[in-house]
Amino acid sequence: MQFKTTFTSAQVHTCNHCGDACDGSILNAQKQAFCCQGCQSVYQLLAENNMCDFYRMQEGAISKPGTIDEARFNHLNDLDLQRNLIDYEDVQQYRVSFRLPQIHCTACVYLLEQLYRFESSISESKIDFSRKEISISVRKPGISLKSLVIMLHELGYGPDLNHKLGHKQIIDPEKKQLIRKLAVAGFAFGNVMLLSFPEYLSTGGLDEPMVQATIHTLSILLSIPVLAYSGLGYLQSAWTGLKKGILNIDIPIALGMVVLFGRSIFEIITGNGYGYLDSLTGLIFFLLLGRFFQQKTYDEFSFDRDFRSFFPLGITRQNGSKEEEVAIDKLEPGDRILVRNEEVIPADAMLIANRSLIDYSFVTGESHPQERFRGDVIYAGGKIMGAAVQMEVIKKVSQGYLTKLWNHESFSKKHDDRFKTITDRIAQYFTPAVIALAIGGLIYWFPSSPQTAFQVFAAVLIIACPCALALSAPFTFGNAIRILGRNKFFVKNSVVVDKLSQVDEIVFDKTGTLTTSENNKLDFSGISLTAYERRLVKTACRNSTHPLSRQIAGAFEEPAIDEVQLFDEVKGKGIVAIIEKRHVKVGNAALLGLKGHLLKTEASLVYVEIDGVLMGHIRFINDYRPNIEKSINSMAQHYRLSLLSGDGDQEASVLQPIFGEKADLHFQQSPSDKLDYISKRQKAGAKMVMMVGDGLNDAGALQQASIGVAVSEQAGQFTPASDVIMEGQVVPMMHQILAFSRDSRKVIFANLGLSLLYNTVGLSFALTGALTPVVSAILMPVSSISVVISATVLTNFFARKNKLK
Amino acid sequence: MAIIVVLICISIAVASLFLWAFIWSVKSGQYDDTYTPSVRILFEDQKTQSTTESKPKRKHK
Repeated sequence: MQFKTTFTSAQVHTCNHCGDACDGSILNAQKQAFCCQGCQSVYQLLAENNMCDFYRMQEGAISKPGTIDEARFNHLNDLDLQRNLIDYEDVQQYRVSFRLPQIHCTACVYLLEQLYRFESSISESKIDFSRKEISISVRKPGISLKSLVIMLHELGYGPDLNHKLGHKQIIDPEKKQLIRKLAVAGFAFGNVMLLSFPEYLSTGGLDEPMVQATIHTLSILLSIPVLAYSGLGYLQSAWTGLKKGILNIDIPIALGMVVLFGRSIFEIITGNGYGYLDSLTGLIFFLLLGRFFQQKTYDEFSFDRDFRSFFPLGITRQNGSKEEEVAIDKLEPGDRILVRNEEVIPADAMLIANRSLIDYSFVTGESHPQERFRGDVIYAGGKIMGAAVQMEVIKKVSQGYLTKLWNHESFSKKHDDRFKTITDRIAQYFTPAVIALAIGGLIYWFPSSPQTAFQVFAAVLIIACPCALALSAPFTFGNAIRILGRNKFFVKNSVVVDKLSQVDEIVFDKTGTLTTSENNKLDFSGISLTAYERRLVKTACRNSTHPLSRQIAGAFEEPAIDEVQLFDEVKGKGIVAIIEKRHVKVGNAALLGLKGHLLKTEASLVYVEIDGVLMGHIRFINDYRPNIEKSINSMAQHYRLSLLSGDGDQEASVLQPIFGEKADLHFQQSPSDKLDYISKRQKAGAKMVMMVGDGLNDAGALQQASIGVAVSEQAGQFTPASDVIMEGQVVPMMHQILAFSRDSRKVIFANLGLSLLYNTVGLSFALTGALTPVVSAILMPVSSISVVISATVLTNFFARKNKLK
Repeated sequence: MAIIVVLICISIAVASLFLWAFIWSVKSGQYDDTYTPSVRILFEDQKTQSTTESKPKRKHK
């Protein structure tokens, strides 16, 4: 027997389109090699249209064209569905937008904006790169929606149709309004500062009262829209806070704004001074600028709490002998539907086919697929594996099991209204202190000089304005979000980062979180198998529910054979099957009756025998994520850890030492068990529970926890509702990420100190009555800018310290 | 010296014009996507040999 540890044959060629290795069997007229027909067609298309520039521009891997099963897209012919997707339509044209998650570089933009070259009825296609969206205008009568989607798939940019439903752009009006407010504030700020120049220079050149009057009038006129329009948000927020009796951070800001304005007007009209209008406009401008930068970061990540983004859009409904594609919310109890391989079951149904394998790992966490037989009830959320199966709908989509879970009372309650951001908590002390100081100054000066008294009162409020304080948290967290995003840990907003820094308990899921759900490498030693023999092995494994068989079936890429004469799975031993008259055995040593020197001693070895000949064995490589033990150990030192798994407890003895003796490990957990556990912990006093899980299965628990972290293997492919989405490969870096979030609290406090320093300096000026407009005008922008810079520098420093990118 | 009043008024008027222009450009959607145009300028215009279909107007928006 020759022993070769090969799995794939030696590569000589690389595909001319996507760069993957290929065996040189598919060639075009110029003898260039491709890995598949799809790549060759795309290359042909580009070459014919003189678009080989595409290859020059591309950075990173080219998306492979998908394998198309046209029938899968039939539901796009449904008019109702089309209406949902189409943005605009009239007699001459229609316009539709899609989200294309594969867009990643300039070449993608290039290719997709030249779609009119491939299809003459397309008049325009425009990309929005940051949102990964394309907007296509089609002249009528032109390409149908279904053919358009198929074309995109063939090019390697299959649209993510699940994302589009129910998600119209809500962000834009707010963002536009912010830009407008910013423009007005900036315009006024610049002009008012310029107009204030003569007063600073005070060389006496402007004695003429008319000039002075004009300058003052103009300054006031410019400041009014800034206060009334740009600053309106703060005024409204402060008013709402006051009505509720909460002292939020906007109250001192609004108070400062009003006092600045009032006092300036007073001084100008009574001819006593020049007012503080430049400080006022500058203050509002910088505050809005800070908010704009935050908004920019949030725009990149879209989060929905809409569970329907997980369910398939449409399903095949059978009407007697006719088959039609319908949107899932049109399904009625009694409808017969056909669910294909890898499709998610949209509604609770009864199985009509004789037998089916369903993958419920998203619902129950159980990694073994479940076998169901004719007449069994199948719950929504599972994925069909294998041949397409018929089933009859029992409940409408809105009443399925998953919806019940999703409608659990914990989801509908507004999440953490009571959570006070760190800024709010500081404001609680800050605001009364400032007001007390102002009144104190007033009282102190009143006996000797009432005029100075009022001056001091206003000055204290102005200079103690916590603009630096207000900017500290957004900029720190904003930068933190950006850094975390670079490390594939995508946070919804800065409130979540604030919460992250205060976590005291972490609950982990096992399947897909601590283990990777991608197919792992297998190591086959033995007589090298022919392609047909591999098909036999794969077919045998495909019908089995054992996880090892599934891994083998997934790793072998050859297509399986449908007809199986005999299939027998012996518990604890393996599979015996007869496929196309060949006898196949896949199992452990006991099944094959091996003895002596052929017997290996490792536990998880699977032997393969065909027609009585031992072909070799397969060794499985452990599927826990690399370095996960180190990470968990490190986290155990700062947090209380728990593990909730849907699987059985066969690995408890391995996991307990890693998690530590104090950690709670629970197995056989259903989604509601997990949710209940978290509620229990919260009632027991855990202040901030973070749940790290995977998929719809943990959806309820993710919502119940204060922070829900969803693990996904490929960002963009699967987006459940959660507070954080992280890529599977960075799970072992969690301890670093949490350390970083703890450090960002230190940064906030440091910045707080800095802004307090400025406040102290300014207050000393104000209380002694020496606060002149120049001083306040200088101090405010200086303090704001230095806080912003220090926030950015310090967060970057801590990122590097924690070995993040 | 009173001339400065006139000058100030004129300059503010001009500046307001620019402000209005900016607000209009935001309204007309030029700030909806701030990233892709920066990518688009890198593309070279292709001389199309195929004359069967008229090249649709899709210039700088």
